[in-house]
Amino acid sequence: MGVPTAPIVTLKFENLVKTYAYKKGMPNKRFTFVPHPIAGTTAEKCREYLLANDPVTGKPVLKEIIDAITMPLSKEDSETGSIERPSERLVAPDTEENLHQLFLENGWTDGLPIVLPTEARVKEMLQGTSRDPNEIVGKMQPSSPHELWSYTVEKVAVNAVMAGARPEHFPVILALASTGMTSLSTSTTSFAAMVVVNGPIRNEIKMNSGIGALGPFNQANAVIGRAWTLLSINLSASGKVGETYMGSQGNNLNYNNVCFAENEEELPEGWKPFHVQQGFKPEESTVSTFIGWGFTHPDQSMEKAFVPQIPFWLKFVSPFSSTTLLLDPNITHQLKNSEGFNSKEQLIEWIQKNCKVKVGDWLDEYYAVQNFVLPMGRMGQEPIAKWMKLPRDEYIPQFSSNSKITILSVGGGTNLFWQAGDFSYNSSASIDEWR
Amino acid sequence: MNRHISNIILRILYGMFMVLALTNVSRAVEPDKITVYNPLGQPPAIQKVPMAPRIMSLDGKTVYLVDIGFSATHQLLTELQDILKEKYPKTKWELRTKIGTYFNDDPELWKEIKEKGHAMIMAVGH
Repeated sequence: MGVPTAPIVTLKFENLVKTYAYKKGMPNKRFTFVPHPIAGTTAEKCREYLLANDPVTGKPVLKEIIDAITMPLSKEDSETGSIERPSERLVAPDTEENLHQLFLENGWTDGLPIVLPTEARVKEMLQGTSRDPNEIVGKMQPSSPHELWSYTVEKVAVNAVMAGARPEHFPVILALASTGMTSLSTSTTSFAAMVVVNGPIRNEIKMNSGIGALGPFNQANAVIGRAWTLLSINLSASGKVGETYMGSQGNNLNYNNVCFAENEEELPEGWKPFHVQQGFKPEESTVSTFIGWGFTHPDQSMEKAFVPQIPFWLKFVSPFSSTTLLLDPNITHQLKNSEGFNSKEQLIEWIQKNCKVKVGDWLDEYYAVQNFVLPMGRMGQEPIAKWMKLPRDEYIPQFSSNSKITILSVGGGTNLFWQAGDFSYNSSASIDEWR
Repeated sequence: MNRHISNIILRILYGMFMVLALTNVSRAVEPDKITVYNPLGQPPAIQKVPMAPRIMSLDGKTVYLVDIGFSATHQLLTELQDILKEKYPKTKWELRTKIGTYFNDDPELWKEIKEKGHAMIMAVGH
């Protein structure tokens, strides 16, 4: 833009903004740091921070801000040109023990032991696809402001080997990589991710969609989910704590990314598998990605009808978010046979119409609404702008459209327990194209 | 004579056997090295961007303070504006809030700053 700028950043983001500035070609960007956080502090505390010293440099904050826009540039500050960063194909030969240590120390793993990607193992993994090993699969980034890394079929195979995958799992992992979606978002809010497989490949590779589908009981569910985390770490530089990953508490779901197959065989008549809802044919195989924070098990009364209780259970989901219901086949059949829901779409429609939030609560009680929704209303985006003008005791939809509600069938029918979460659907990709 | 030659040959063969045996032992105790792939994807080249020329003096200049929209940022910048106004009275300190969330661009504001401003202070995440 050509205007000298003094960026002020809170302390926790020091490594993130410095590495980010380097990658964006301004390594000497003149940051001033203040204590973290600013959110929730008083005006007096803000003034105190501004009149104190920068906690990184020890220099007065005010002087640093003024120096940032007035001190002459160095020769390096005005440089142009480019810095290439070639990616090596092989690691220097070493013992297995040393290589395991190297992978761990370089941050190339999820902290658990990996399978070393030897030439023979990668070659075997590549037998799982007809694609050229040098073909570019896609690009991925930790979150939208960060740089996009690209990766080949071979690089995906390397990470698939590390995750413990078999060649028959590889088309699913390639399809997942082709979405360009990281499972490790930079956000301070500690996002989780979810991956759902639909279509014939579920049974071909023996994925679990029944009893214990979300647990550690099935190789395909386990390694495909884990592979997504390793892809994210190594193919997009996601998950570098303090640089590209800022989730305050982290999220345990990131180890496996809630990887399962939808239980299509147990869907009631008229209820479509998720990939068919998204426009794919039933005989196609797909992988679908979601992002959210977590799930909970509603403790519904079994003496009453199921659906009228849904608005009560979903109150924990922020109106900023979407919702995803993981329904056991016991429940889907009850919904169809006893409560008259002949399709997922009918159930989604009911939830959208009946889950509501009071305008006053919507305006006052949700951090994400205040930071990410209301600013859009101030820009005139509807229906947010209209809702912001309503009386505080009026009600608005908790989920602004049907597209913010997902219904998935999973489980073995041993109980009426189920799970509800705040996951949003992101995208689906064909697995067949990567066979 | 023949017996003597046979002894020499036997000794040479024994020596060769011992050398080979010892070599194998040393191979057995030295851990094997293997070659593995590097798992990292390809980062893009970094394009260096020259920083904008600085202003030599604040006097008579207009400096924009831009709130990117995070909670309490406006409060921080309001305090900063008050301090700067008092400390640098010959400078105009303009406080603005960028439209939308921090994901949204604000070309109108950038245009205004480029036309009317000489420098910018931007804050803050969290």
